[in-house]
Amino acid sequence: MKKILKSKIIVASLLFVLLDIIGGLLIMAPLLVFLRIHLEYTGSAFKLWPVISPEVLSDILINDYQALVMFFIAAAVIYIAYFPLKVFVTAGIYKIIISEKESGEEIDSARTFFIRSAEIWIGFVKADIFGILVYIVALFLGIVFGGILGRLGLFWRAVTILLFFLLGSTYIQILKIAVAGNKDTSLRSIIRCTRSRIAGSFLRLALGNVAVVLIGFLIVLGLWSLLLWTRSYDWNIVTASLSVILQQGMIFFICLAQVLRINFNHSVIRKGE
Amino acid sequence: MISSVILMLSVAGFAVGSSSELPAAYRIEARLDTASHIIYGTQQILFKNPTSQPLSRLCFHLYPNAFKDTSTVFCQESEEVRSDVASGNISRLEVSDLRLDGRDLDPGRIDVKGTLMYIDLLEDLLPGDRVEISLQFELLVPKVKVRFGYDSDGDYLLSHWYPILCGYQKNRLIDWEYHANSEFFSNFASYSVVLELPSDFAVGSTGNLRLVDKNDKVAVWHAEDEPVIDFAFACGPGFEILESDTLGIKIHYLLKTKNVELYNRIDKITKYSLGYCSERFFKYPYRNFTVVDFGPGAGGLELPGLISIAVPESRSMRASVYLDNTIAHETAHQWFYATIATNEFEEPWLDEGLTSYITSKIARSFGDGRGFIELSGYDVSLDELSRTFALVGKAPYPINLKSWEYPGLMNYTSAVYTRALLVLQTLEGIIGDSLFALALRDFAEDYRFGHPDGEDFISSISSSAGLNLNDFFLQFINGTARVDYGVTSLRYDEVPSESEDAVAKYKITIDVRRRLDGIIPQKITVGLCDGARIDTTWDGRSGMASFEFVANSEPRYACIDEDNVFPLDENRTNDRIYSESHSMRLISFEWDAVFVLEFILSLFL
Repeated sequence: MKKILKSKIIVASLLFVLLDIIGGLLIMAPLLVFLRIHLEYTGSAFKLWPVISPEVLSDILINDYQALVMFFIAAAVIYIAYFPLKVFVTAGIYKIIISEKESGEEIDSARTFFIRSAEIWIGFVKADIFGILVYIVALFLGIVFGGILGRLGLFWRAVTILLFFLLGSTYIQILKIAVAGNKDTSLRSIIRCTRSRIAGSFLRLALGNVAVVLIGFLIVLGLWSLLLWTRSYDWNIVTASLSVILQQGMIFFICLAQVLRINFNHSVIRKGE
Repeated sequence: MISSVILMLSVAGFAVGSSSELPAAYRIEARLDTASHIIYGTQQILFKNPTSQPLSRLCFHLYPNAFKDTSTVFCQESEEVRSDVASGNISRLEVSDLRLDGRDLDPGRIDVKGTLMYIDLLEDLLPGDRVEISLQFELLVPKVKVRFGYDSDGDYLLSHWYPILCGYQKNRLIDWEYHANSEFFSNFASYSVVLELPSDFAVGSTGNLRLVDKNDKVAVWHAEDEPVIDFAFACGPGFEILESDTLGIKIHYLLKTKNVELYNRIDKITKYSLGYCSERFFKYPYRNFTVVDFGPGAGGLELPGLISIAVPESRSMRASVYLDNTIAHETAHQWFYATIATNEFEEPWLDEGLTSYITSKIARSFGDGRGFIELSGYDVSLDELSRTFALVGKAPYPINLKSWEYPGLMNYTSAVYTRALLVLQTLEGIIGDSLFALALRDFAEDYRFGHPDGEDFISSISSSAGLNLNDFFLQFINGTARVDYGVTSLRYDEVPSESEDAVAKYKITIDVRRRLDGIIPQKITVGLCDGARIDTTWDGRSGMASFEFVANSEPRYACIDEDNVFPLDENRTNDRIYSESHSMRLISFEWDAVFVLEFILSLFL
């Protein structure tokens, strides 16, 4: 177990899971409190498994749409407040993934984690904000090329859009890797210095990321099937617990795939130096 | 060609006034020119004054003139249609050579106002007296829009395509303009129609249709029926005709070639719907029934003996459910519109509400018992969707407004279709399933080939149910009352027993509340831990009420409207509360909600 926890890939994945759980809980908190007050003693509590029933959704929509609007506003505000924390911790996790013993920048304690994060987190903020533009462009290209491939069917249209999203995500990861590796928080210089390396290794980057995502997707699909099977049984404490474990397992494997992609992208970019 | 055929038909009895009891007998001869999309027609009507007063003028609907230019009432009310008309897609129904009893009519006696044409009679027409009107008309058919036109395949759907006499209801002339939200009203009549169409056209129509003559270029068809409130037909080269029958009714399907693969499904739901309504109300009164697959623009339309449907492009389960729903709904209109001919202008809720109610019933009972409303995966029933749509708007308008009094299509649809459906389902909940079914059957039989209004419906249902339902109708048909009853608390105390070996008794107190203005008598139920139940009733009038019970077991839950028979109740979440918390279930669900967000967050690292 200790050995596993010493693996920076596993540690980084677990930290990402933890970060996502905190984010999920924080952002969902207003809705969760509202639902608890509303449903705890009612018959609707029986209509939440295996998924929330249309009747409960319909009643919330009819009677509590103002609360729903408030929830979306609150969720947006909480996300904005959570965003710096997310970026700060993400920066530290990137540093864990890409740092090597020889560099003398290895993270071996919470203190060094926070020190390293503090050095680069502002570059991550810029990369994430720039990421909005990247994803919009990816969506646009996905729709355009998806429209051409869409003649083959809806499936290929969706695949095309997802592929462009993946390329966009890879680009953002590379920018963040460069920020973490060079301690350079200027977005402009990071974009400049990564341009030639990406161009030189584009195919390798694309194929590697697609391969990792495909394997991750298959594992998550397997867990999803298990989750559906669990949910085919009536609610009880065992099925409910198993369900939560499977859900978190899925999140872990998604995070693991992300960490592997970061690691892979880092190694490709480093070789291009 | 048509004249020789008419001569032949005249010998065979093709003459105006074949049925003496009906207010009107139409004889129409029409020729379609597909190059110019114009129908040239002549029309003779033998009209009998159906009222108890002398009539000095008659009125015709010229529906196609709603799309003559952008100044019409219809165009003013519908931006979509206005821009379509502005782009040049117009229609026009022009009437000429008007004669009354063979005498030419002075143009000064003709007054055209929008989609209405008034004719001053030469002399007053006494009750029961007749006048023969003859005219010629020319109809420019538009590209398909609002219930009629021709489509890109060159197929035509012609509804309300000729000058139709305005109907009378309870001695009153119903002469309303054609509005964007309104449908139609006319009296029962006999029809004899001769159609000259291209010979390669498939044809379907109201009534009994037969091919009279045909050469290389044209075919002449003759259709007749009575009593019907209108005559419609569809024709074109893009249809394939398939035929079927049920209960002695011959069903004709005019399907687009690409949709023929759906024939079995369409046939199954059509037969089921005809059978369902025939069993519950009265047997479908005509020999023929035609289903036309016409697509967007004129799909989902009820006409006498003919319905049009729009087959969705998608072949998904959801699309098939939509198709089933449309067929069931339009078929139900053969009773509530075509044979119980209510006034769709002034009381659209009567036919649309009742057909929505029947559609819901058919949906629940069709096929394997799951009904066609259940979809695989995340099941959202048609009833649930309708309920949400009706209640989310908070009932700003009563359901019995005139069709054009609703601002916009959404308000019209929400009130007339979905809220009316909830009102009828709630009424069924109050009266009981079987009694309501009987009351509806009584209403249908009493007004078969009649023109009942809302008051007739209310008195008929009240009388059949043996209940005074005025309060209900005032609140939910004439008014905008909203309903929400709920249980606010469930408490219990142990009552000390006098003897030691006696079973412990519990005093149970439940508080209930009426949160909104709508009043419906309620059934209150307390479920006990030993499985027993205690029921009581509440008239629901006071804002709050408390009920006390004594039981030998602790209460498990208390609920109001346990069987969920009042879908007008806006909040079902507060209908049932438990004495114990369901905290673990909530935690389980909360993790589900967090998982969804975690999933999204984890994709953007």
